[in-house]
Amino acid sequence: MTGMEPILRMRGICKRFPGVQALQDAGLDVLPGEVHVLLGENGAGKSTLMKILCGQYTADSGVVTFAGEAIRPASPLEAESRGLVMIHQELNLVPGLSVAENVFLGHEPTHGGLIRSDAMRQGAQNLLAKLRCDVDPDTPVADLSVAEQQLVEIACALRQRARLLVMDEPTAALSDSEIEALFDVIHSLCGDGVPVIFISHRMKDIFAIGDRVTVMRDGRTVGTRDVKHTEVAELIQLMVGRTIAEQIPKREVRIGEVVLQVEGLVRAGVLSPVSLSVRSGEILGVAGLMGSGRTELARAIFGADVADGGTVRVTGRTMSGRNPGASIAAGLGFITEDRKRQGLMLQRSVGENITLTSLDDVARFGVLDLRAERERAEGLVERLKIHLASLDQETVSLSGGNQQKVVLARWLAARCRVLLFDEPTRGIDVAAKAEIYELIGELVGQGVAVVLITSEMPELLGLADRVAVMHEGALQGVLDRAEATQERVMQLALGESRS
Amino acid sequence: MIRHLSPRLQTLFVLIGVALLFGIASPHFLATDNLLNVMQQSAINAILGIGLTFVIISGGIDLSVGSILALCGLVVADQLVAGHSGAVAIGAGLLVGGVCGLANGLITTLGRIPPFITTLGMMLIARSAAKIYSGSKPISGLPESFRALSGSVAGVPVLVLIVAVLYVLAHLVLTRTKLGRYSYAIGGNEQAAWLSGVRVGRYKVAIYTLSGLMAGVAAVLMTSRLNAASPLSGEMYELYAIAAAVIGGVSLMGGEGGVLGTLVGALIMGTLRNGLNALNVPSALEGMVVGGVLVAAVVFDRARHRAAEAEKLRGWTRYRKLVLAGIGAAVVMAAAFGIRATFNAPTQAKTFTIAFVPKALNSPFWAEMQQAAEREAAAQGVRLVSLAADRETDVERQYQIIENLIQQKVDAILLAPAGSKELVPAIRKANDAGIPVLILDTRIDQGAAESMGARVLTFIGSDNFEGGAVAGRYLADKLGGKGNVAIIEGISGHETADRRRLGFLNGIEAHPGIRVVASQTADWERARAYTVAENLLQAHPDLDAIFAANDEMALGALEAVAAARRLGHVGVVGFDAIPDALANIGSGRLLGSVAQFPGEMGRLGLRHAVALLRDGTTPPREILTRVEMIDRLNVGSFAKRGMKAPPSRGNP
Repeated sequence: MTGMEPILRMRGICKRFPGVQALQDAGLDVLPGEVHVLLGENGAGKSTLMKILCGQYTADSGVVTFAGEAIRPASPLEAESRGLVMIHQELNLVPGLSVAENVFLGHEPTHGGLIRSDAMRQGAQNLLAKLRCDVDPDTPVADLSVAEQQLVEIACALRQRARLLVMDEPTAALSDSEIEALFDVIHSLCGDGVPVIFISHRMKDIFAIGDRVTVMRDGRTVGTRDVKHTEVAELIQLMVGRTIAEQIPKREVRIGEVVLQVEGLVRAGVLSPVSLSVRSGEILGVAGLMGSGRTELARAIFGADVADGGTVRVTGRTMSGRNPGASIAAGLGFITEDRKRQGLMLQRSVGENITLTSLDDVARFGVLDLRAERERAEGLVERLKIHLASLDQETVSLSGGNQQKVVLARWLAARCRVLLFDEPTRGIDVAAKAEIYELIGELVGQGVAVVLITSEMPELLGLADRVAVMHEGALQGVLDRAEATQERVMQLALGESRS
Repeated sequence: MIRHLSPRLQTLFVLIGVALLFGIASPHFLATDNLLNVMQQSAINAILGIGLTFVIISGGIDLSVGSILALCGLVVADQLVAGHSGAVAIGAGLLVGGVCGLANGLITTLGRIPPFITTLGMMLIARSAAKIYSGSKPISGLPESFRALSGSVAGVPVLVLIVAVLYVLAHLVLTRTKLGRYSYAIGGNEQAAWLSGVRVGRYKVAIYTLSGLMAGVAAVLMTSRLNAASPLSGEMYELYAIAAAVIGGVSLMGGEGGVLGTLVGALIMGTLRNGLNALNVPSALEGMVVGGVLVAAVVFDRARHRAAEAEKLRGWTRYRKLVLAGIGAAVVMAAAFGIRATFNAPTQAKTFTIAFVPKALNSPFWAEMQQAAEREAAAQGVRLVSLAADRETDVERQYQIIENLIQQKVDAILLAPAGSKELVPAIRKANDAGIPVLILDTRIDQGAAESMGARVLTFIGSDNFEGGAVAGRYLADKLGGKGNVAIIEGISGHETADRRRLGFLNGIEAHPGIRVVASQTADWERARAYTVAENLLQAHPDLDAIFAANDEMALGALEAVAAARRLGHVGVVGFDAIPDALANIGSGRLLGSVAQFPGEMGRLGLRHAVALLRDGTTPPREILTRVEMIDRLNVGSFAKRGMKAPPSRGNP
């Protein structure tokens, strides 16, 4: 492959989001007709880089050259017109429309203003035949399997005469035979000279389909390897190869008896039976890559999703009647990962948001003691150092870190025995992060049992007493603090159970 | 607290602005009596608005309150008529409202069905239940004691006091109880509320139950006010209540707003309607004004949201606000004087003002009556004020119009009552104010009038019974005394509808060969009649003729007959002889229509009113205007006679 001119060249790409530097001097070279795998931990910047390539974001700085021409697509439409097409993990199809209608959506062949459905059907059929897919173009997309839907998306891309295809974790929802078929299609595309950038976490995929692999970490590109000349250990080394700069002080806490005990918790197709326990004063870290089932595990424990089997015991009592209300009453709390959609009422005041779970403490016969409520909220604002002008302020006007602290305040007020944190420091600044670590330390000091789901390796290794690693909905292993190294965690997260 | 108040303060300024505008434009508007009037007229809407506010804040919607109101009103009236005590009747009404709301809540939460669908279903179900429960007839004859609810205490209407108490309670519940707080939480972010342990389902059920209960309360008060209950009352009221909430700053996205805003919103709507009446603005313009305010309120609210964000960037907003307020005030003043000049030109001394209140102004029938009255008024040198509700079934609205006319101190009222029983209390009010009332077209129920001590000077209208009989005899003759006929009735329970139907049956009585195979209502509407006729034609292949109790329905039936290719086999006869019908008679499609002379009613009504005011001449108790069968043979000459209808019996 060496000696070939790259068709795509990305150099010095930087992108900053409020509170976080998502990309720092990232780059990528893609050769004509190759399958180029992009690898990295959650938040390493893979998706951001690809979204810049395909016009969803614009870079703060850096150069993108495609087919010898410098480009700077301002919208996905513009990128597509140059032949840069991205197939997202959540497919972009209209379920109610037929395959043919989806393939030609927005570009319907017309004659005198009327859609020529025959030409559309024929066109779709030809494209699908090229992909060796024998789906009837008149079938509604909703009736197709995920694999077939993916092929429809690829047909869509072919219709646009794609010159470079980006696929974001296309194998995540496919069975082995479906994956094989997909790889055949990818091979034939590459044979036609269309390079494919393939984002994946699955080591098996990388070695089965990839020509070259680029590893990203912390917003930077750390290396590109020929797949033939590398091995899993080297890739893991590249992915995690940082020295943990910010040391998080680990408090010494007396660990008590078991408070949360989960046995055989299972949800068909989402969670394989999971058993674990957490003691009072203990922090159980939960690691895993995107889509490994960490959030699903937390939701199932909390009763936000109905499990198909298994038991959850809090302080020895088996929980029945699984719903959030009952869980909170039993002493469970759940700080969701998406605070905007699942955590806060953004248009309501900070005060109302803080006391939402604990109104019963300030209510008699359903009537609120507004003064007591206010005092409580004020106390928590002070304790958490939430920066605000007034308790009556709309929550939407706070910064990300302060919003997250409002959510935490709500759960502190509820005085839970077990707290499930799902990515509590996502998208907030360093100072606020440190305060949240401090707070978690304080909580375990008081004997609360903590389950901490996080994609931040330093956070995980710094705070957790034990680390549970999830992979494809199953608990891949639990590591003690002593044996939990970045490499071990990543191995388990990538599905390499023993190496 | 300031944050909560400020949007409401802005709507409050709008209310004050609108009130000032009308105050400048009309001398009657700012009188204490009239202001109390406005509050009273806004009361029903305001009470429904409480329930809607809770529902909308929680991110839902309730379209069923208007229908629930009708059903509850009938239950209350029925219980009273059956001799139960007021407490039992009120309890029953509230119970029915609460149960309907409970059903809304349970179906929405347990079935995971969008509330729009659930309550749309309940809207249709409750309306239908109301019609079945009452046999589609209004219920009246309530005990005098029940009227106390719509009386006054120390000069303040009880209705206004009740609204005030309810609003204080609702405000406290919304701001100081878990129910209120969780309403905001659910509307603000249902997912988050649920994950925070809020029993979302239970609270939603409570909220919808509350909304149904409020419809029950409104029903009790409206029944007391009208001294009767009708299965048709409350149509569109759900939308008015939604409008009040939205004008008051409640966001349809949920999570924002408050009841005090809704109260102001309801008062703005009431003020607009009352004020437009006071200015004699044509009723047709009303929807445009209220609709405009509704849309403007939302646009303004959005702009305010955006401005609040931009405000941090600019230092001169306070100054800018003052300038804007100044400009706004100037516009209001200019508008006020403009309206005053346009609609309320100073009248010459010593002319009488006579009000004409038809059921609506939405058909040629009423238009012809109004035009004739207008011409007569010009000839007699008096001033005519015409006001009408949007729909013939909106009894409460017609009641309000009469209240407003009493405030304006008109000299006489010509009234075509939308309900033969429900308008009796309004007539009594006019009596008390010394304003004579002349009834046109539709009779007032004798019993109801007597029990309330309401007096009307005269009834001027077609002999509907005779009209029906004429049609019956004509059809029997055409069919040679033998055949199958169907009747399409007007709104059952309506005096006019009943008399036409009975007249028709009387007309065919002498012909035993004529068989009535079906008799169904189509509510006076053309589209409904089309469907009814379609089904009749389907069910009775041997049908020979259809008698429809008005031309709108006759024309609907005619199209159904044509669509079924049975034109020429099934004859259709209508009633009213409106221009559209005459054209179809001319072309031979419609068999015939019974002509009334609405122009004559308007003309005679005005003439008798003036005679009474000028010379004290009392008209006869009853003046029946002619009816005449129009068919192909005489349609030409009838059309030529046009408006110059010949004099009829009882002419002074």
